[in-house]
Amino acid sequence: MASKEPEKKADGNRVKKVHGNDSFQRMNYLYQISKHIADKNPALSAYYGNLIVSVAKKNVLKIHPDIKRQFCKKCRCIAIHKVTATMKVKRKNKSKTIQWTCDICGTKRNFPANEKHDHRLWLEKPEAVLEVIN
Amino acid sequence: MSAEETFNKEAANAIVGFLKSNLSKSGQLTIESELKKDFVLAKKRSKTKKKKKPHKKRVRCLTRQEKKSIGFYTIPRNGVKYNDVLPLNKIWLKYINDVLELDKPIPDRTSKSWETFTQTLFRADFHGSMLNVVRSKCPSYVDKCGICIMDTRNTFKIVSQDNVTTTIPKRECVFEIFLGKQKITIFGKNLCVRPAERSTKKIKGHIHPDL
Ligand SMILES: [Zn+2]
Repeated sequence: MASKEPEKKADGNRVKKVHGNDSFQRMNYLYQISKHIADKNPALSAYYGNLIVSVAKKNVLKIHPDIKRQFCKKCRCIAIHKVTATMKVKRKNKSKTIQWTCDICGTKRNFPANEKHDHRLWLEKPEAVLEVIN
Repeated sequence: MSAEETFNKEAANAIVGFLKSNLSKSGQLTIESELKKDFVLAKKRSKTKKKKKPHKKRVRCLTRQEKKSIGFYTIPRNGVKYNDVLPLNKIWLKYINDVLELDKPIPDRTSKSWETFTQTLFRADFHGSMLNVVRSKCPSYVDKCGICIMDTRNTFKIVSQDNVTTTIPKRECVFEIFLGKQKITIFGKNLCVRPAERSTKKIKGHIHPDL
Protein backbone atom coordinates (compact mmCIF):
# COMPACT_ATOMS: atom_id res chain seq x y z
CA MET A 1 0.00 0.00 0.00
CA ALA A 2 2.99 2.27 0.19
CA SER A 3 3.94 4.12 -2.97
CA LYS A 4 5.47 1.79 -5.46
CA GLU A 5 5.23 3.38 -8.85
CA PRO A 6 8.10 5.63 -9.85
CA GLU A 7 11.18 3.68 -8.89
CA LYS A 8 14.36 2.50 -10.47
CA LYS A 9 14.85 -0.63 -12.50
CA ALA A 10 16.71 -3.59 -11.16
CA ASP A 11 19.66 -4.47 -13.31
CA GLY A 12 19.45 -6.79 -16.27
CA ASN A 13 16.99 -9.55 -16.81
CA ARG A 14 16.60 -10.53 -13.21
CA VAL A 15 13.34 -10.34 -11.38
CA LYS A 16 12.44 -6.69 -11.12
CA LYS A 17 12.27 -5.52 -7.56
CA VAL A 18 11.52 -2.11 -6.24
CA HIS A 19 14.32 -0.45 -4.40
CA GLY A 20 13.66 -0.74 -0.69
CA ASN A 21 11.02 -3.37 -1.25
CA ASP A 22 11.34 -5.01 2.15
CA SER A 23 10.99 -1.65 3.89
CA PHE A 24 7.87 -0.92 1.87
CA GLN A 25 6.49 -4.27 2.87
CA ARG A 26 7.33 -3.56 6.46
CA MET A 27 5.62 -0.18 6.36
CA ASN A 28 2.62 -1.75 4.72
CA TYR A 29 2.41 -4.34 7.46
CA LEU A 30 2.81 -1.73 10.18
CA TYR A 31 0.05 0.32 8.60
CA GLN A 32 -2.27 -2.66 8.67
CA ILE A 33 -1.66 -3.48 12.30
CA SER A 34 -1.87 0.16 13.26
CA LYS A 35 -5.31 0.28 11.73
CA HIS A 36 -6.28 -2.98 13.37
CA ILE A 37 -5.36 -2.04 16.92
CA ALA A 38 -6.67 1.54 16.76
CA ASP A 39 -10.07 0.92 18.33
CA LYS A 40 -8.67 -1.15 21.17
CA ASN A 41 -5.47 0.62 22.06
CA PRO A 42 -4.80 4.01 20.43
CA ALA A 43 -1.45 4.34 22.15
CA LEU A 44 -0.14 1.24 20.43
CA SER A 45 -1.53 2.47 17.13
CA ALA A 46 0.38 5.70 17.57
CA TYR A 47 3.49 3.71 18.40
CA TYR A 48 3.23 1.82 15.13
CA GLY A 49 2.54 5.06 13.28
CA ASN A 50 5.68 6.53 14.76
CA LEU A 51 7.59 3.48 13.64
CA ILE A 52 6.37 3.85 10.05
CA VAL A 53 7.63 7.40 9.91
CA SER A 54 10.98 6.50 11.42
CA VAL A 55 11.45 3.53 9.09
CA ALA A 56 10.68 5.79 6.13
CA LYS A 57 13.13 8.37 7.42
CA LYS A 58 15.91 5.86 7.98
CA ASN A 59 15.57 4.33 4.54
CA VAL A 60 14.92 7.66 2.78
CA LEU A 61 11.62 6.52 1.31
CA LYS A 62 8.50 8.48 0.67
CA ILE A 63 5.19 7.55 2.20
CA HIS A 64 2.31 7.73 -0.22
CA PRO A 65 0.23 10.83 0.56
CA ASP A 66 -2.92 8.76 0.94
CA ILE A 67 -1.27 6.83 3.74
CA LYS A 68 0.45 9.82 5.23
CA ARG A 69 -2.75 11.81 5.43
CA GLN A 70 -4.40 9.15 7.51
CA PHE A 71 -2.00 9.65 10.37
CA CYS A 72 -2.42 12.48 12.82
CA LYS A 73 0.38 14.95 12.35
CA LYS A 74 1.09 15.28 16.01
CA CYS A 75 0.64 11.96 17.72
CA ARG A 76 0.73 9.83 14.58
CA CYS A 77 -2.25 7.81 15.58
CA ILE A 78 -4.28 6.59 12.66
CA ALA A 79 -7.44 8.58 12.06
CA ILE A 80 -10.62 6.59 11.68
CA HIS A 81 -13.92 8.43 11.71
CA LYS A 82 -15.82 8.02 14.99
CA VAL A 83 -13.08 5.84 16.45
CA THR A 84 -10.01 7.95 16.93
CA ALA A 85 -11.01 11.08 15.03
CA THR A 86 -14.00 13.06 13.87
CA MET A 87 -14.51 14.32 10.36
CA LYS A 88 -16.50 17.39 9.45
CA VAL A 89 -17.20 19.22 6.23
CA LYS A 90 -16.79 22.94 6.76
CA ARG A 91 -17.81 25.84 4.62
CA LYS A 92 -15.83 29.03 4.52
CA ASN A 93 -16.23 31.74 1.88
CA LYS A 94 -18.00 29.39 -0.49
CA SER A 95 -15.17 26.89 -0.31
CA LYS A 96 -15.45 23.55 1.32
CA THR A 97 -12.85 21.93 3.50
CA ILE A 98 -12.77 18.60 5.24
CA GLN A 99 -11.65 18.93 8.81
CA TRP A 100 -10.24 16.03 10.75
CA THR A 101 -9.97 16.39 14.51
CA CYS A 102 -7.85 13.91 16.38
CA ASP A 103 -9.58 12.71 19.54
CA ILE A 104 -6.36 11.87 21.31
CA CYS A 105 -4.37 15.07 21.07
CA GLY A 106 -6.97 17.42 19.58
CA THR A 107 -5.06 18.45 16.49
CA LYS A 108 -7.09 19.74 13.58
CA ARG A 109 -6.24 19.14 9.98
CA ASN A 110 -7.85 20.66 6.92
CA PHE A 111 -8.06 19.34 3.42
CA PRO A 112 -9.55 21.36 0.58
CA ALA A 113 -12.54 19.78 -1.10
CA ASN A 114 -14.11 21.96 -3.73
CA GLU A 115 -16.17 20.56 -6.54
CA LYS A 116 -14.97 23.18 -8.98
CA HIS A 117 -11.25 22.85 -8.39
CA ASP A 118 -9.02 20.01 -9.28
CA HIS A 119 -7.51 18.96 -5.99
CA ARG A 120 -5.81 15.88 -7.31
CA LEU A 121 -2.29 15.33 -6.19
CA TRP A 122 0.51 14.89 -8.64
CA LEU A 123 0.73 11.19 -7.89
CA GLU A 124 -2.92 10.68 -8.77
CA LYS A 125 -2.54 12.13 -12.21
CA PRO A 126 -1.97 9.69 -15.03
CA GLU A 127 1.24 11.28 -16.24
CA ALA A 128 2.93 10.54 -12.90
CA VAL A 129 3.15 6.83 -13.53
CA LEU A 130 6.44 6.08 -15.23
CA GLU A 131 6.62 2.34 -14.95
CA VAL A 132 4.71 -0.34 -13.16
CA ILE A 133 6.74 -2.93 -11.31
CA ASN A 134 5.25 -5.95 -9.70
CA MET B 1 10.48 56.36 37.85
CA SER B 2 6.82 57.19 37.43
CA ALA B 3 7.47 60.82 38.33
CA GLU B 4 10.12 60.99 35.67
CA GLU B 5 7.80 59.45 33.11
CA THR B 6 5.03 61.95 33.82
CA PHE B 7 7.59 64.72 33.59
CA ASN B 8 8.72 63.39 30.20
CA LYS B 9 5.14 63.20 28.99
CA GLU B 10 4.45 66.72 30.09
CA ALA B 11 7.58 67.88 28.32
CA ALA B 12 6.59 66.08 25.14
CA ASN B 13 3.11 67.59 25.27
CA ALA B 14 4.57 71.01 25.80
CA ILE B 15 6.83 70.62 22.78
CA VAL B 16 3.96 69.44 20.59
CA GLY B 17 1.80 72.35 21.77
CA PHE B 18 4.60 74.80 21.12
CA LEU B 19 5.14 73.48 17.61
CA LYS B 20 1.44 73.54 16.84
CA SER B 21 1.06 77.12 17.86
CA ASN B 22 4.18 78.39 16.10
CA LEU B 23 4.41 76.43 12.85
CA SER B 24 2.98 77.52 9.56
CA LYS B 25 -0.17 75.88 8.26
CA SER B 26 1.64 73.57 5.85
CA GLY B 27 3.91 72.38 8.64
CA GLN B 28 1.08 71.65 11.05
CA LEU B 29 -0.31 68.86 8.96
CA THR B 30 2.86 66.82 9.05
CA ILE B 31 3.81 67.36 12.68
CA GLU B 32 2.73 63.95 13.84
CA SER B 33 4.53 61.97 11.20
CA GLU B 34 7.64 64.13 11.42
CA LEU B 35 7.88 63.59 15.17
CA LYS B 36 7.70 59.84 14.79
CA LYS B 37 10.57 59.70 12.36
CA ASP B 38 13.34 57.24 13.18
CA PHE B 39 16.93 58.32 13.09
CA VAL B 40 19.39 55.65 12.15
CA LEU B 41 21.79 55.96 15.03
CA ALA B 42 19.35 57.26 17.63
CA LYS B 43 19.19 55.42 20.91
CA LYS B 44 15.44 55.53 21.21
CA ARG B 45 13.06 54.47 18.53
CA SER B 46 9.54 55.68 18.16
CA LYS B 47 6.92 53.11 18.98
CA THR B 48 5.17 52.80 15.65
CA LYS B 49 4.34 49.14 15.45
CA LYS B 50 5.18 47.44 12.24
CA LYS B 51 2.55 45.01 11.14
CA LYS B 52 3.77 41.52 11.69
CA LYS B 53 2.82 38.86 9.27
CA PRO B 54 0.49 36.37 10.88
CA HIS B 55 2.80 33.64 12.05
CA LYS B 56 1.64 30.29 10.87
CA LYS B 57 1.51 27.72 13.60
CA ARG B 58 3.64 24.72 12.90
CA VAL B 59 2.38 21.43 14.18
CA ARG B 60 5.07 19.93 16.27
CA CYS B 61 5.43 16.42 17.49
CA LEU B 62 4.27 15.67 20.96
CA THR B 63 6.81 16.35 23.62
CA ARG B 64 7.87 13.55 25.84
CA GLN B 65 5.78 14.81 28.71
CA GLU B 66 2.66 15.08 26.60
CA LYS B 67 3.21 11.57 25.35
CA LYS B 68 3.59 10.38 28.88
CA SER B 69 0.39 12.05 29.99
CA ILE B 70 -1.55 10.34 27.22
CA GLY B 71 -0.04 7.03 28.26
CA PHE B 72 2.31 6.20 25.45
CA TYR B 73 4.99 4.55 27.45
CA THR B 74 3.14 2.82 30.19
CA ILE B 75 1.25 -0.14 28.93
CA PRO B 76 -0.43 -1.48 32.03
CA ARG B 77 0.20 -5.05 32.99
CA ASN B 78 -3.31 -6.14 32.18
CA GLY B 79 -4.05 -3.46 29.59
CA VAL B 80 -3.86 -5.50 26.41
CA LYS B 81 -6.11 -8.45 25.80
CA TYR B 82 -4.74 -11.51 24.09
CA ASN B 83 -7.75 -11.75 21.81
CA ASP B 84 -7.16 -8.21 20.61
CA VAL B 85 -3.68 -8.96 19.38
CA LEU B 86 -4.48 -12.35 17.92
CA PRO B 87 -5.44 -10.83 14.53
CA LEU B 88 -2.05 -9.13 14.46
CA ASN B 89 -0.45 -12.55 14.53
CA LYS B 90 -2.55 -13.64 11.56
CA ILE B 91 -1.51 -10.61 9.53
CA TRP B 92 2.07 -11.11 10.60
CA LEU B 93 2.12 -14.69 9.34
CA LYS B 94 0.98 -13.50 5.90
CA TYR B 95 3.53 -10.73 5.94
CA ILE B 96 6.44 -12.95 6.91
CA ASN B 97 5.35 -15.45 4.27
CA ASP B 98 5.62 -12.70 1.66
CA VAL B 99 8.92 -11.39 2.87
CA LEU B 100 10.79 -14.64 3.34
CA GLU B 101 9.07 -16.41 0.42
CA LEU B 102 8.37 -19.40 2.60
CA ASP B 103 6.50 -21.23 -0.13
CA LYS B 104 9.86 -21.86 -1.72
CA PRO B 105 12.17 -24.28 0.08
CA ILE B 106 14.40 -22.65 2.65
CA PRO B 107 17.91 -22.29 1.19
CA ASP B 108 20.74 -24.45 2.34
CA ARG B 109 23.02 -23.16 5.04
CA THR B 110 26.06 -23.23 2.80
CA SER B 111 24.50 -21.68 -0.30
CA LYS B 112 24.67 -18.06 -1.28
CA SER B 113 21.00 -17.37 -0.81
CA TRP B 114 21.28 -18.32 2.85
CA GLU B 115 22.82 -14.97 3.55
CA THR B 116 20.02 -13.02 1.90
CA PHE B 117 17.54 -15.17 3.76
CA THR B 118 19.02 -14.33 7.13
CA GLN B 119 19.36 -10.70 6.08
CA THR B 120 15.68 -10.40 5.23
CA LEU B 121 14.75 -12.14 8.45
CA PHE B 122 16.86 -9.69 10.36
CA ARG B 123 15.26 -6.76 8.57
CA ALA B 124 11.72 -7.99 9.02
CA ASP B 125 9.36 -6.69 11.62
CA PHE B 126 8.69 -8.68 14.75
CA HIS B 127 5.58 -6.92 16.00
CA GLY B 128 2.85 -9.47 16.10
CA SER B 129 5.06 -12.51 16.05
CA MET B 130 4.57 -15.43 18.36
CA LEU B 131 7.62 -15.69 20.59
CA ASN B 132 8.71 -18.34 22.99
CA VAL B 133 11.66 -18.00 25.31
CA VAL B 134 13.76 -21.15 25.10
CA ARG B 135 16.77 -20.28 27.19
CA SER B 136 17.56 -17.35 29.40
CA LYS B 137 20.03 -16.30 31.99
CA CYS B 138 17.14 -15.63 34.29
CA PRO B 139 15.19 -18.84 34.82
CA SER B 140 11.83 -17.17 35.40
CA TYR B 141 11.69 -15.99 31.79
CA VAL B 142 12.04 -19.48 30.36
CA ASP B 143 8.91 -20.84 28.67
CA LYS B 144 7.19 -17.47 28.47
CA CYS B 145 5.15 -17.52 25.32
CA GLY B 146 3.15 -14.77 23.69
CA ILE B 147 2.62 -12.25 20.92
CA CYS B 148 5.08 -9.42 20.64
CA ILE B 149 3.48 -5.98 20.67
CA MET B 150 6.44 -3.71 21.27
CA ASP B 151 10.02 -3.94 20.19
CA THR B 152 12.57 -1.63 21.73
CA ARG B 153 16.32 -1.66 21.56
CA ASN B 154 16.83 -4.01 24.44
CA THR B 155 13.45 -5.49 25.19
CA PHE B 156 10.44 -7.24 23.76
CA LYS B 157 6.99 -6.71 25.21
CA ILE B 158 4.82 -9.74 24.84
CA VAL B 159 1.22 -10.49 25.68
CA SER B 160 0.73 -14.01 26.92
CA GLN B 161 -2.46 -16.01 26.76
CA ASP B 162 -3.60 -14.98 30.22
CA ASN B 163 -3.63 -11.30 29.15
CA VAL B 164 -0.48 -10.39 31.05
CA THR B 165 2.05 -8.10 29.41
CA THR B 166 5.66 -8.92 30.21
CA THR B 167 8.86 -7.19 29.27
CA ILE B 168 11.67 -9.49 28.28
CA PRO B 169 15.27 -8.37 27.85
CA LYS B 170 16.62 -9.51 24.50
CA ARG B 171 20.26 -9.83 25.29
CA GLU B 172 20.06 -12.64 27.76
CA CYS B 173 17.49 -14.78 26.00
CA VAL B 174 17.16 -17.21 23.14
CA PHE B 175 13.86 -16.97 21.30
CA GLU B 176 11.84 -19.34 19.22
CA ILE B 177 9.65 -17.80 16.53
CA PHE B 178 6.78 -19.74 15.03
CA LEU B 179 6.21 -19.26 11.31
CA GLY B 180 3.23 -21.43 10.75
CA LYS B 181 4.83 -24.82 10.33
CA GLN B 182 8.45 -23.86 10.82
CA LYS B 183 10.23 -22.69 13.89
CA ILE B 184 13.22 -20.38 13.97
CA THR B 185 15.57 -20.07 16.88
CA ILE B 186 17.15 -16.66 17.30
CA PHE B 187 19.70 -15.42 19.74
CA GLY B 188 18.28 -12.24 21.17
CA LYS B 189 21.76 -10.81 21.32
CA ASN B 190 21.72 -10.29 17.57
CA LEU B 191 18.54 -8.26 17.68
CA CYS B 192 19.75 -5.55 20.00
CA VAL B 193 19.17 -2.69 17.57
CA ARG B 194 16.39 -0.17 17.47
CA PRO B 195 13.54 -1.48 15.33
CA ALA B 196 13.66 1.43 12.89
CA GLU B 197 17.40 1.24 12.43
CA ARG B 198 17.48 -2.47 11.96
CA SER B 199 16.27 -2.23 8.39
CA THR B 200 19.34 -0.28 7.33
CA LYS B 201 21.94 -2.18 9.30
CA LYS B 202 23.81 -5.24 8.22
CA ILE B 203 24.17 -8.24 10.41
CA LYS B 204 27.27 -10.36 10.53
CA GLY B 205 26.73 -13.90 9.38
CA HIS B 206 28.20 -15.54 12.39
CA ILE B 207 28.31 -14.20 15.85
CA HIS B 208 29.64 -16.67 18.31
CA PRO B 209 27.13 -17.16 21.06
CA ASP B 210 28.25 -16.93 24.62
CA LEU B 211 27.94 -20.04 26.61
ZN1 LIG C 1 -3.40 13.23 17.30
